[in-house]
Amino acid sequence: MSIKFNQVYYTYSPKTPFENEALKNINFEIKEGSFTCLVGHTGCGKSTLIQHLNGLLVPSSGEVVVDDYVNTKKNRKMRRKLRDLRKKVGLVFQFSENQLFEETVEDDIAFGPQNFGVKKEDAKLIAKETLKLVGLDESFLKKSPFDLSGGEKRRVAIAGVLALKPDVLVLDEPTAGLDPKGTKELLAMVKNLNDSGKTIILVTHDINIVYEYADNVIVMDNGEVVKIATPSELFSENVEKYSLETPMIQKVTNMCFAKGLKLDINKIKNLESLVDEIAKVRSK
Amino acid sequence: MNLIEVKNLSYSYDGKINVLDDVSFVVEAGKYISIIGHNGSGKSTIAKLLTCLLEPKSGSIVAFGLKANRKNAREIRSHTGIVFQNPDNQFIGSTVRDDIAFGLENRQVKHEDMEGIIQEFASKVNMSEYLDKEPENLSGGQKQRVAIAGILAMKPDVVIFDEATSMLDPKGRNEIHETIKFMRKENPNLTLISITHDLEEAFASDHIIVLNKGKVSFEGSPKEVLQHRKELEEIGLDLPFKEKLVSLLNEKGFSLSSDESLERIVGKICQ
Repeated sequence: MSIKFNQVYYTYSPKTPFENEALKNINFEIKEGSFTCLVGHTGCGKSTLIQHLNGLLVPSSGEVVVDDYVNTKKNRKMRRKLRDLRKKVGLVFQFSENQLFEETVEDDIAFGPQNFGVKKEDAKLIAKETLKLVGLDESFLKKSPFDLSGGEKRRVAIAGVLALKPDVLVLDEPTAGLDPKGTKELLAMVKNLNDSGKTIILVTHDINIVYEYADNVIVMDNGEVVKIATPSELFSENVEKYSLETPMIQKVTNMCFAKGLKLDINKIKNLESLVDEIAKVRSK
Repeated sequence: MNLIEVKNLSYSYDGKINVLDDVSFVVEAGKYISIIGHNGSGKSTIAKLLTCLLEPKSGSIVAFGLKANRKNAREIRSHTGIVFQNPDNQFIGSTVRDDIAFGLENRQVKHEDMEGIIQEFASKVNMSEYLDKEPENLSGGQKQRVAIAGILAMKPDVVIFDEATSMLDPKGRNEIHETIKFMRKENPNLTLISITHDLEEAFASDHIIVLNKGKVSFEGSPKEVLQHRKELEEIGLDLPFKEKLVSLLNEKGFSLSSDESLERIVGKICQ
């Protein structure tokens, strides 16, 4: 199931003094099973864009095609199939832990499936399975979500979305505010979901996440897509023009190149592989 | 001079688990100290205790010669400013000007003096051009800078940053780092306490206190704290990039020192 944006424009509060064109002529395609990062500074339209993926927003013009669902202003009939779309595309908002509300973790995760007509008992089974996916054991089922740590809460919130068994998981800044350990664990979990076949779209400010995890990067600026590339393509050019930082690993790689040490860029994904590659090339 | 003395401080929210467990440290006047630890290590609880939002269950805090309790709360708060994590939760005014004025109004500063003070402190955080802007039109970094201006306008002795950069994008984070640098240069007597899990950020301070599960694991200058590499990693804190790079390369047989600049380190790798 692929995702396609065709000439998508979106304007907030049209024909008012507050009119604001948040998306301008967005065109791209995301392949099934890929890991895509969406980057750009605050206010560039990232959050507006992802809300088009599950029909929370309808383009002012143009269309967003997700599988057989066409999100467009023209085709009103399509909105009858919105439930199917929302099942397929799971959207995890920023600071998703704020959405927890039930008395137990089990009830909170089971809430979504029940809304889609799953019986309570079955929904509880789903909750149990899904909790495993986010790396928490069964002892959490009966706990109150409000007694958990920040990282645990966020995992429960993500489990609530995963319980609907979406094919596409969209995460808006899932690591913001988490400590380094929580960040690493959460990303390992997302990577696992990706390896098991889910399409991942991740919004982030953290350039190191992009470097290590993404297959593709979509860079946005001022409501427009300014670059689509693989991380190594993107960071081989000067990314400061997109108000992005160059990842430290790329900086070191560039410095090594400048000094004549020819590293194989395709082998470098993170700090460990950078050091391995340096050691290998030096020992030759 | 010790501005704040924390002795054998323990605190529990539910009466069962001690979020803080026998914590002691001192804060010297004019120093920039960082309290670091993972999510749930008790960092933010310390901030709340230092500002008398919570009262110690056992042990004591003496700040500015006063014992931290409900009676002294007003006095202690008059010396202390705090910048919280979420930029949106601390913007009270409808414009930047109103927001900076809020604290001054509470202190009953005369109206004719107020405009001058607002102008002065807005310019210190580079927000002079935004005085009439509404919070919706500001970035996270700008909102945090307005919060800092509002605090500085009250002339505090201590400013506490409670994860003030963790919700900001890299640009906003840099803005706050620059503002902190400026604050220190402009007023060397100002004491700063930064609560963070960003080691890169903590390494800009004079003294680091490492918290783990409610206890002080170790403390010292950034250099001293770096000696505890293993423990830092076990706690789940990420060493600064250069430190990690050097330590991994040395495992591969290089002999490099992280005291040198990144350029020199790379130069040695490529020799």
